[in-house]
Amino acid sequence: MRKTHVLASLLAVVAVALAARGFADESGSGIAIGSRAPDFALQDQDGKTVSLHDFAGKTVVLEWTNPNCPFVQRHYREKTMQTLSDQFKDKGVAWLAINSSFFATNDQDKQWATGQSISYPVLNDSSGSTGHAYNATNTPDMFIVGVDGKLAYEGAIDNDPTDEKTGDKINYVHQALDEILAGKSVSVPQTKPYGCNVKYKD
Amino acid sequence: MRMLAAFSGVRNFAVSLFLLMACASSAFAGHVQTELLTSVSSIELGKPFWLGVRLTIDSGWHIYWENAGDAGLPTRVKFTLPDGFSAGPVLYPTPSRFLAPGNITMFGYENSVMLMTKITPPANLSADFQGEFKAAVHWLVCSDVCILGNSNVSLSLGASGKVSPVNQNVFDDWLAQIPQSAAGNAKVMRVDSNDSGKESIKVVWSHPAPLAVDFFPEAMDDYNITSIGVTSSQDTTSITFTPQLLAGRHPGATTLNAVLGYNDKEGNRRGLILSVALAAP
Repeated sequence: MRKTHVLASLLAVVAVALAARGFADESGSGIAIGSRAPDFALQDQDGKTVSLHDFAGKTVVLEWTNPNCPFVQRHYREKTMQTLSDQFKDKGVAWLAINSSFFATNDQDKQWATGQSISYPVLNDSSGSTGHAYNATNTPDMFIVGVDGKLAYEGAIDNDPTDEKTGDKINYVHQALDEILAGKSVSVPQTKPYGCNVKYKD
Repeated sequence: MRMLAAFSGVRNFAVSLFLLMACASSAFAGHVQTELLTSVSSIELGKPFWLGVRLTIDSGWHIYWENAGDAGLPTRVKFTLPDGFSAGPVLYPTPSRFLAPGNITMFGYENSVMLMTKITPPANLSADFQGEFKAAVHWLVCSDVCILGNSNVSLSLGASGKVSPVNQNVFDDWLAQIPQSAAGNAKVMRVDSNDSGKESIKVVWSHPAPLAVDFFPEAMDDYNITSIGVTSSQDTTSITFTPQLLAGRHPGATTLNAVLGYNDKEGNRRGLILSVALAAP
């Protein structure tokens, strides 16, 4: 070995002091928990424009979706989303599915919503602009916007990517909504989403 | 065989082929073919051997490393062995990086990969032993769409036959792609971390920096490793990344394990293991 300056040993355990951890990184996990959720105006499966600000003062669940993704298909087969949205509908919680796939069309979203007995809007974001604003990476990728318009949860629907858990299964969105409605702070405000990558146009 | 794969879709379409010398079985499911290979024709008392699941992936599709990255699902192999046999960890060769629109970074394999484990026979193995070795394989394969797939492959292996290596080139090729410690190849030093949370590592090679150097962090419970940048000049590779703490997490000091992937002079994929200590935030 030639140079002998400050090199650490082979296979060094490199000591890295962590400086302040921001969430400002644009290519990282997007908007920070506690910061304002970006507004959007997108068409639902019937062509009606739906905006986040239509739900001001309500808790809103945003579900990034793609009918072609097997993880989405599994949760619709198991009725995870339909059951959860129904359960919280009467408690002032709105639910919006957002399809940021480059191939998304209102007609296909409508066909899918009808077939799956979906009672909430499925929004067409085929340009990907809303997906990028939230940095949604997976389908499903779940976001909860609190009554204050700030992001209260982001991440996976549950802790079971491989659909194997039984007793120790945690639905993070259910848990967070329970805590929000009870006036508590969200105990697990961020998890790693799992699923297909969002099929963005660019 | 390809036609069968096309018709079978996600469903497992298992075909068992017991090849005399290779003792391999294979299965076909949508876009991925799997087969179980052994490194020996017969088990020798007291001698470990290798089992490997080789996945052959249709062109234009990819499967995932043990850390899939921003999206995807790790490819998993679960071995079921005869009584008394033990398996080491499943070894994943150095992966490649896939960047999807929307700046979604994923780690995995295209074309083919073999996931391997070292098998140790029991000390009291009887001379007339014959047993079934099984592997359950689960994967997500993606191109413009993603498809979940799985297969069960198995092979029969005994202790009474002539002992000779089989599939030697295949195992040599893939074992050489298992990440190794850096000894002799490179020196690793921490350079800096700055206020925005960006970390820098410098790797000084014992030779000019190789081609296709890339940084593959293992999955961490409490952090997303983001903004990975890798640049090489002369004998030095600089790596930058940002460990983003997930909201609501309060980890202590921890270690980030990562693989530094590169191509050797002959263009073969290789990997070095790096460990980076992360202080408590």
